[in-house]
Amino acid sequence: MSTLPNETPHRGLERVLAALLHYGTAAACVAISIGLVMQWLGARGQGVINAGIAAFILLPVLRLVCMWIAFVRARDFRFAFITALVLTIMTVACVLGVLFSAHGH
Amino acid sequence: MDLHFEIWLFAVALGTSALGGMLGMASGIFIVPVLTIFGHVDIRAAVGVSLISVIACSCGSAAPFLRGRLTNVRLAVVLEATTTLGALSGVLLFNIVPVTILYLLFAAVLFVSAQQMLSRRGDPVTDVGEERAPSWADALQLDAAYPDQALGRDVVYRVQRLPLGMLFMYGAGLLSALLGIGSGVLKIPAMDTALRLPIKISSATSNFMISVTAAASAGAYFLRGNIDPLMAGVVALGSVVGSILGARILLRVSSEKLRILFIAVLLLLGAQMLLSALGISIGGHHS
Repeated sequence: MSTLPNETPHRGLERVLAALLHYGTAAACVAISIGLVMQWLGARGQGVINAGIAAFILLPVLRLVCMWIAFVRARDFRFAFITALVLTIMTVACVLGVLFSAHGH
Repeated sequence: MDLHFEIWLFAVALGTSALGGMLGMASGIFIVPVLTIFGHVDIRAAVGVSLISVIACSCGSAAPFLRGRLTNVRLAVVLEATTTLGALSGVLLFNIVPVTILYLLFAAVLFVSAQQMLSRRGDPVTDVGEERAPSWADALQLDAAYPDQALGRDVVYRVQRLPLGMLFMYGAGLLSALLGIGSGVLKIPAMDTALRLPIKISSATSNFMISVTAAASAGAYFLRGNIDPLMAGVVALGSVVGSILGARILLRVSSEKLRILFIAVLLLLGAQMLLSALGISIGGHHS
């Protein structure tokens, strides 16, 4: 008879992540919409649109940071390490990607 | 970029992701072909635009799955370790891989997706009580349970063959960075064949992972200036609105007809991408 897996290990975390992703998407969409309307009205909305795009790219990073905090607080250091590893790989991809293109062109 | 093109972009993004949402399929796969074939956008620029919309759709649709306990958060982060490594490789290859190869690769992905859509997916049959050798998945406590509405109780599931699943995910990350897609084409075999997850868990978890995978490459492309903010903004907005609409009208249209329509569109776009690849290699000029 095998033991049943832990049924709901991260209920609190799941709610936090759901709220973060929901409101984060809404905020980024609002920023992009405002920027687009500004552009159409002849104002310079480029910066606001860029902020919205940056928010979309940072949202998954923020999601990982939340997960890392939750794992550390649950003293689940193995998963905190895996989460930190994912964040590190993302950072390395970003840095190498930018450096590499500077040499490539 | 004129207003007509922006409205056209918004409509295309809205339409494809609404249709995609009805079939539980990411629309990212349509954005690059439509932008390159009909919008005459450079394929690398189209990939950047598509990645932002992939992130937007993944983040925008994650909440209900998380609240419904369908997303396996622990499994997601383990698999993200290899999807982001794949994305890292893709970022480094992105400017080196010839445009012709990108078109060919995209055509192949469209054809394989059509084939996957043709063969229905079923829940893998696994006996939970069955004895098995200790594995990585046990060590990491990845098994979980989800509430099944039809059965009215929690269903326990097990994660199997994790190393094979992680290998597929590396490929998914690589394709995502090169082609600007969510890579369902590799995630479906990873989740069904390797990990043997129930479909609900597999859809929720892979949708949850896509944003991290896409952000791993989008960050570099954005900082390099490879992402046109105006185009990316319009497409991302259209996709989010479309996916919300798609989820609402889920039950009103025959999904069988939709499936056939989707397969036809995938095959047509695949054929056109193949022609684009050949056109470029023969003619030697970029559109």
